[in-house]
Amino acid sequence: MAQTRDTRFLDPKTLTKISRLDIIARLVVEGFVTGLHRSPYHGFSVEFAEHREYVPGDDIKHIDWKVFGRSDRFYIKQYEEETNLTATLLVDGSESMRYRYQDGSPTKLEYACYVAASLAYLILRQRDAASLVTFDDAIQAFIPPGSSASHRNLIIDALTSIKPAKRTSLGPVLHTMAERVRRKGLVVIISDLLDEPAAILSGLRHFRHKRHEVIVFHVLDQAERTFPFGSMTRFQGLEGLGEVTCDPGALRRAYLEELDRFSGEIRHGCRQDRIDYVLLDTSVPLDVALTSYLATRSGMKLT
Amino acid sequence: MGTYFANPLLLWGGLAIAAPIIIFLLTRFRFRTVEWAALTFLQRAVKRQQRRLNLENLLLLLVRCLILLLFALALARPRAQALVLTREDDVRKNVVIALDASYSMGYQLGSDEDETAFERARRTAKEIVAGLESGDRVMVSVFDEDVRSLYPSPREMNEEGRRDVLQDLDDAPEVRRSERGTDLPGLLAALPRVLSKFDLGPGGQPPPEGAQPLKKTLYLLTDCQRAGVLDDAGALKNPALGRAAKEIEALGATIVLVDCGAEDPKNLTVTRFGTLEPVVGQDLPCHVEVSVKNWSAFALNDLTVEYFVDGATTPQKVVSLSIPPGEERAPEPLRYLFKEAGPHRVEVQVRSDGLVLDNRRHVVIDVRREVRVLLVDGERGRARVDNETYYLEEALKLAETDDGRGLIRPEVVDPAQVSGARLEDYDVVILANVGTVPDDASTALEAYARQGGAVVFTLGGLVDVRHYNDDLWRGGAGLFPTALQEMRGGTWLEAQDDRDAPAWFMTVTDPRHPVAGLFTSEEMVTWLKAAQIYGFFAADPAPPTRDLPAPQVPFRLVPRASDDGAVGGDRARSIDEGQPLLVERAFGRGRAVAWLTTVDYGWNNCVVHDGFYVPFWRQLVLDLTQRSRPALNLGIGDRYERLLRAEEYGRVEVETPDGRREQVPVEKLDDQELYRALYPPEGERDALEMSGFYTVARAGVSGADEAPAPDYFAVTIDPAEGDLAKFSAEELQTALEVPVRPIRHELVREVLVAQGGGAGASEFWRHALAGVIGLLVLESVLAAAFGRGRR
Repeated sequence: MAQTRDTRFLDPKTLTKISRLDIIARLVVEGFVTGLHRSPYHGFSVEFAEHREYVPGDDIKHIDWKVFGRSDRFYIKQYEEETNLTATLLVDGSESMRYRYQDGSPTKLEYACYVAASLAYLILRQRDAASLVTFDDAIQAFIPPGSSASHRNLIIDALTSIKPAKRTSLGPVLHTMAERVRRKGLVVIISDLLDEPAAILSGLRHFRHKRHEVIVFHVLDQAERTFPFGSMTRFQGLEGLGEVTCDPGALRRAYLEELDRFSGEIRHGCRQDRIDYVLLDTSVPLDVALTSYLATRSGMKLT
Repeated sequence: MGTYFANPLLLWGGLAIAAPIIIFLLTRFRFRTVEWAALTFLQRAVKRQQRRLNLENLLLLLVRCLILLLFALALARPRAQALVLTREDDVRKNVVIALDASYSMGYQLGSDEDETAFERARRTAKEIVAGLESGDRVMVSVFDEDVRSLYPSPREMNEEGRRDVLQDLDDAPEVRRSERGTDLPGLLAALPRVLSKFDLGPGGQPPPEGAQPLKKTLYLLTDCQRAGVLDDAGALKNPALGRAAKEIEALGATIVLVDCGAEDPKNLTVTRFGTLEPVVGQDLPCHVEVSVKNWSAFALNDLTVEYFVDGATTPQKVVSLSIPPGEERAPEPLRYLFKEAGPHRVEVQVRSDGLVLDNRRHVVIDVRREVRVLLVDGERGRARVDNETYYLEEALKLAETDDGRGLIRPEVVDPAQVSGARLEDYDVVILANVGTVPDDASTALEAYARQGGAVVFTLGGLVDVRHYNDDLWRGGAGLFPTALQEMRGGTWLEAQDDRDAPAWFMTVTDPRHPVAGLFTSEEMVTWLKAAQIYGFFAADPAPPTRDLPAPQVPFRLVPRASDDGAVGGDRARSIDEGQPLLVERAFGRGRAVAWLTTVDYGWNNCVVHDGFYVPFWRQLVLDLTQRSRPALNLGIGDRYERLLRAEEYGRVEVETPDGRREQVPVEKLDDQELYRALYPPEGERDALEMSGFYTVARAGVSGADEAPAPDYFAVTIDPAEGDLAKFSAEELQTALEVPVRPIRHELVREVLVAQGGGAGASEFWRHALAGVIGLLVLESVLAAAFGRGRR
């Protein structure tokens, strides 16, 4: 029953070679889902929708044995699922998100888009509603919740049209969105979080206050986590942060301490507010993000 | 600066410390630029670490500068002394090169004939000179049996000085291998004089009282021959060597021994070469004997020994020879019949080893037509048999061959006939029991002996003691070799009747004497003991004075009945014990001999013991004959002397073994009717320096129409120098009790340069280099700790 998972399209480096985000999303999700023992996205509603032929990976409890008696074939009964979840995807489109250390690797923004697109694909396949917000220092685009198949195209279009040029101002954006998303649901934030931790945590807390479930995907380039520079280097800051010329070898330890302190502060704040915090670097396969989503999704009490 | 550093130019390398500073500054302006998103964290890190970073950078920069500075210092090879001494002289190297030029240094080291130990030593000397620095000083001494210094005072190593010394080491006549032996004690005794010249002031003034001598290095370039220096136990053969070494050390000199010889030399030497017969007669067989010594530790087998006669290119005889290690062997002698009288050349060659010179030896044999002896009989009897000289004449004219030919031709005359005889035609004159020697005869005999003749006196009852003492001995000025005292004992006839009559035995007291040497074998001692002496003149051979040469007393008399009843001659006796029997003394160029008893049976029974009588008198006559002839077989360092009578006067020319011809000046001797040709002429430094045959040609002789046949003489090397056994530096150091430092010849220059000076300057550069390595390690550790890995 179990089928080998096609992990090719979970590797971010492979995905950079595919230009169309919708295909990326489908490849990621299908590759990811096929390997799961139990198809997770069948609804729990009782309203029958249609039959479909059994494919390996389907739960055998959904096999329609009557049809099998008649036709000697395995069919699965599929049900019309009620949309009872709204997932809001917030994708950071600030200038800092266009950073990448090595050519051939995705930028942080591209990686964020893969994650967002894949999640949207998955959400919509589950008949849930997905909403997308792109932002930098303000909200750039907002796709309201929807669950139709065409809604996916809207989301993909919005993701591909992000122009990373401005500074991040995550706190105000989160507060704004917390006010705008009225229906309780799932909020997914995909960002490098390059802002003041207090402001970020304050915004996140606002979502929690509104009874949303929140997942924070903290996207960093691998170089930002390891600081692999050797010789004398001038670092030009994105988002107009100025520049620093230094011997990176001498500063590595101090830099990594600063980074750890920052991410530790965020992680600690998230844990306190029961927010899922997932640190992703752009070399990490995408299933980490999807698994985190599904774990949160299945733990939610549906209304 | 040259006096403080071996390579002062390399000090400029110290400017390399600018490199890390420049690199440090350049890196401030040379960097790559990257975009960076998480700049906030970096800015905070920089803010927090700036102070520490600056300190670390400064520390690393300092360490790197120090590394380069120390490295440049090490390359410049500083001399530690330079840092503490103020006298400029003290930091110079003062070097004495002593170059062994003895013939053993001609040992061939490889297949190339020119590559000898001497050439190696010469090359090493040049390398030492080339390795010296500007301002250093050098003296060069070449030694064999004597020491020759190339320069009267130390040569300074400026550009010209170095060029001159190098040139001299190639070309100077002093710097060539000689055919002499080595005299290391002589060298060490001469060196203090050479070494002290370094301590003289610029004007040659002596150093101030109490001044410390300058440091010096004595490079001894030699083949380290043990013979003449150390005995088998490793002790000094000559204690003076130790004293000289101490003196050298006290002059501040360190001895550096550079062994330039072969590592494991094997050599054989012709040690002895000559005829068995003391005088060789024309048409009479003679035996040319040779001895060959194998000095090496290996047996040498199937050696070819070749005899060449009279310049022939093909050998007269070839024999094969094997010699065990360390042994001496005499192969079968050459038995030869010389058809013509005169000097003949015989050469022996042994093939072969690395040292060619001592494998050959030359001898000139003076072949005599006859040996003429004038017997002056003081007691002529009615019958010939009653003559005093009857038995002597019979003994001398014994035939040498079966067909009755003999070598010695005796002629008997009365004392009155002496003055009328041409004494120069006789080899030996024997006066037998001549009571008084007529004045004119006495004068003629003295002149004869002075010119090289030999006169023998035998005594007897007719001898007038006072005449002998007053007129012939004359307190040492006359011909008779000793003062006479009273007659002791009696005649043989009386002794035959009286059993208690005193009698004496003969004993050998100087076996080195050629005649006495005959009576050292067991058989001959029996003959010697058989004869008894019943009467003799006691004599007192005066000890030598300035005008009187030392007497030789090869035979003495001991009483027949000694205290313990032993036969005389059995007991060990000192040379002075017993009464003299035979006394010999040089007189002018000749010899005078006294036999203090009778030559007939009057006072002894020698005549009936022909085993003693015949060999004794024949050997004495032949030996005196041989010794009264001009020496034809000389050693290196000798001079050839040829005396010419007035009728032989003419031009004399000598042709050397290498074909050079030299005119020899002929001078008249002051007090005699004689002329002398001396080669090489007196006053010239060089004596005979080349082994081989020399030809002496005479021309323009007034008394002859044709030029006389050429004479020859031979020059041979000292065979002892052929012993190539070595001493080591450790052995020499132990024996001399002063430090002796060994250096391999091929490493001399490296060691010299590495030392930064031979004059004891310490090797400061090593410390600098160690410091460089230490700092490099420190720099690596710091760089790793500070996160400055070299990427």
